[in-house]
Amino acid sequence: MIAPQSPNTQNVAYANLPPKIGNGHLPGFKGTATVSGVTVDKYQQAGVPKGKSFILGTDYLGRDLLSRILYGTRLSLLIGILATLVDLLIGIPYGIISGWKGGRTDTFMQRIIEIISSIPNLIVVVLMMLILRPGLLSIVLAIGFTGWITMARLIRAQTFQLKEQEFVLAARTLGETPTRIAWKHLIPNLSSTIIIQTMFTIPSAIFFEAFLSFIGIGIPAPSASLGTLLSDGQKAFRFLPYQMWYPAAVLCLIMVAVNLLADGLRDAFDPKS
Amino acid sequence: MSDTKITAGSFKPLKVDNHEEQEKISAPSLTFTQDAIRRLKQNKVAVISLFVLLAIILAAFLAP
Repeated sequence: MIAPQSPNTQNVAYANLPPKIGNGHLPGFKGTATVSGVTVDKYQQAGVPKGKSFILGTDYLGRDLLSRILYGTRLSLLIGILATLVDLLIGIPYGIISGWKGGRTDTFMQRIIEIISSIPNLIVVVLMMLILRPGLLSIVLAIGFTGWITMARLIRAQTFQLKEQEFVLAARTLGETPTRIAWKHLIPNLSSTIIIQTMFTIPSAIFFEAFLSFIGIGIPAPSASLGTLLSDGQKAFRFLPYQMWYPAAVLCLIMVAVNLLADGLRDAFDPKS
Repeated sequence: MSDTKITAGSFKPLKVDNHEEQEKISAPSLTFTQDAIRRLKQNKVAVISLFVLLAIILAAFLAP
């Protein structure tokens, strides 16, 4: 609906066309390029039929950049969401169990966390490439392997505080099971920490994926992500800057928006403010 | 300070309906989430970035 063309359809005849909207009257979207000091109509040169235009231009294989950016954004967001899911599904139970049990269990679990966090993330990804094919799964697994540690630590510290409180004591005295106490008393009281930490996990996961794709061990070739688009655009940045500017702008917009929203949520959910 | 004697006459009984009025809570009681959403709405930058994010997400997932 929104994406005008299929993001993977190649047409080498239409390669590297500059952005053009409609008949090309808007500045910056005229479909022209300056070649050795002379402004030429790239669309005419490539023999593109009249009326056909690429809103954000095409890349070096003639693929529509707007469609690729839309699909790339989807993949990047998907990675952010999946990383958050891992954060929620592993980080929270781990932190709550570690904080609730205390004592030996806690010491043991914290040592595991320390061991995992001492392995650099990049090494995990590179080792993952040996077993799995590069792609969405291996990136999500790599982020999931280390991503939940911050969450688990925060939750554990908070649980230590909460479990000494009177309402938990009351619930225990009344014979509530630890599982129910965790659901009914701990998680509602931890909600602010969880929401805030989640909002900071999403951008870091997106950024990590972009970084991996940029250095070439991320999403494999045909499918697009913001990182691969940046890495493709960077190769021709001096001559075709639009191929890097637009994906970079989208990435920046997502980063700024998520960070500002996270700041707002932190202020809103902090009962002390 | 003048010497005024406090007698039984210097007290007036409180009206019953007045008492109920005093107990009334004028502001609507909010749950934690409602309060947080209210505070989030006051933060203009956060609301704008929320809408920008929603627009990006919709555009990305409705693309095909």
